[in-house]
Amino acid sequence: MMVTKLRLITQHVMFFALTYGGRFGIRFGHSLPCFSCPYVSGCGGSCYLMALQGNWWGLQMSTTDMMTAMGLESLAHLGIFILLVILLNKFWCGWICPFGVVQDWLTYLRRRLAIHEAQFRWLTRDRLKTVKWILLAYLLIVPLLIAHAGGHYDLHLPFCRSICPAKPLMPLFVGNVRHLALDFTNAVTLLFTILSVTIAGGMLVGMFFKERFFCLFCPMLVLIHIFRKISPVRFEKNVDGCIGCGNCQCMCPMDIRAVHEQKTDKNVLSEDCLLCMNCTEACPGDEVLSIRFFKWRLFASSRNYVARRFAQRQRLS
Amino acid sequence: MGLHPLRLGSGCFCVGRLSASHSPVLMCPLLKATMGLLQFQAPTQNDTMPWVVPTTCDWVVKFQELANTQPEAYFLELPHLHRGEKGQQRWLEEIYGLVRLLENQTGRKLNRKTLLSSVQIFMHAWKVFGRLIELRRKRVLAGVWFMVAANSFLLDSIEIWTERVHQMLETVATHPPAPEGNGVFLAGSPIIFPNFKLLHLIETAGMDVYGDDLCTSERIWPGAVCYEEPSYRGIMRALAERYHKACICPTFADNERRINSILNTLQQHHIRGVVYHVLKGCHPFDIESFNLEPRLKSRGYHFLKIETDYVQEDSQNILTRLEAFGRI
Repeated sequence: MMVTKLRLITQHVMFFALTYGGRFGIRFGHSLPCFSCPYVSGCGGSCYLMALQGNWWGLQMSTTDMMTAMGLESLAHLGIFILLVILLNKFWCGWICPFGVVQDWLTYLRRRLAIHEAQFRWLTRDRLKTVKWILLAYLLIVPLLIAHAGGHYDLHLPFCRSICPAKPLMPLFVGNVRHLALDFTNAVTLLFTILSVTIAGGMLVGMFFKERFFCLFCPMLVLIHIFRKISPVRFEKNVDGCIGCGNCQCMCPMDIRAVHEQKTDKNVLSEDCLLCMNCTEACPGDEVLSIRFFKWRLFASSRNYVARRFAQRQRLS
Repeated sequence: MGLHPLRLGSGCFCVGRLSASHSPVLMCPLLKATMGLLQFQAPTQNDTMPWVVPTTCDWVVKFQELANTQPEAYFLELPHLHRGEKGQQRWLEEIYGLVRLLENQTGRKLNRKTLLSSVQIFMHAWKVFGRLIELRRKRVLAGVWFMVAANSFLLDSIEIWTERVHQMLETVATHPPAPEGNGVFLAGSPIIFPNFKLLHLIETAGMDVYGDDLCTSERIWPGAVCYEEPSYRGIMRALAERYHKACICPTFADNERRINSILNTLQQHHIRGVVYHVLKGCHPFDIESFNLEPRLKSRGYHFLKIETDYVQEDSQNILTRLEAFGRI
């Protein structure tokens, strides 16, 4: 089976399990390294970013609470999150994340309409990389300020409530439109909801015109990337075998140039990589790109695979 | 658009003589022969389609001036840095310019559907050609015959070429492989029909070419066009990038991946020797040989550089060198 098909099936199974799973008794917990939004009622698991920012199991917890069972619980959640990240690493982004699937649907729709994808200049693309680090800092620092520096409680869950587009958009899949409304309780809540809805609207447009647009800014991607060195998931390149055709760059939904440009280091799992394996599928060099799990090779590029896959695609086109 | 490209370029010594009187002595013999061919078989008034000339080297840039062809050549300005954004953008603009020219000439518009269909046709040809390369590596097909098939590429419609090569494959695939002998890798300047002098000499010296790096042979196209964006602009971009970025001609300044390609083939197919062909006057390949030779030798491969043109007088000399190389 083609990797693309396998990925599509996995993505959709996981989308339904994570969005509607709770209604059928599926519960993957609160430590998932993907955008399975807890604002979706009846979801099958929750994104760890909420737990990380919260006052139950996260950074907003007071020093006294840390000494109680809650402190241990939060450590347990962190431990599960790290374990999951180490185990599957970027597969969470390319194969599991339900918000990633939504983005892929929009891309599919745009392609069906034969609308050209928006292109960033290389310099712009490089500059955008810093945004996700800023967002990560934002979601880590604000809860700490609330807990230890007297920050206003209405600033809690800063990333989820003001930035994350999954919060207003994902609940729509269960018929919940409440998160599109503005909250007039006070200035902070109003500001947060205005930001949230505006960003969601902007992201929707961005995601339509640019594949995996939100992933360019996703702080989860950074968190996952931190653990890449101790993960059994490896994305490797036989640098001596590469003829530099550039298919990897051309096919990458994140416009990553690092795989193409790498000439010395065999490890090419870069910060923005989603492990969607598009590049590996399109590489015509035999075993030049490969995805490994521990010592097992999951998939490696080959000339014959490229010929088979793209001949099929063109028939579909 | 209902057009198919015909490759210019000749390896014929006789017609090359026709242009000898009004071209520099040390001019690239390939272009000299092409100029002679154009004199010999001058285009008629009805030949209105332009010569499309990518500016790969200085000789090509001066081709129009020397050959004085009618209609005038259309130059595709080739950016010689192909790894950067600027070079890729410029090349894409050149390709759009070419599309406009062809649309004006034919009165037809290029659209997404026809582009996709062409990509599909070339993909099929690429697959068939891949099988041909495999047979050569398995020593079922001799180096000369492989070169004949590759050289006929773009002399007729691509579909006819694919069909003929496929028929050839069907016939040849049943043949037993030749006994393992002295396999060499041929790199360097293009070898174009009918000038197969070097290939004949290699075979006469008791060796066979198991692989090559010639732009008229294994490198006639750099591979399948892979695209993620099926829109018109998406396919155009993929097409332009594929033929620019993936090209490992020494005319490019940032061309360090060429050595990888050669080393990879040598390693995979256990070939120990490289014969490096330099056409007299072909400066990019000549310059690159000075970089390639030490790198190959440092990895234990044997290297022989042959500098020649289309004349037959140096054949015995080359044969002696090749025989000595074969004994190593």
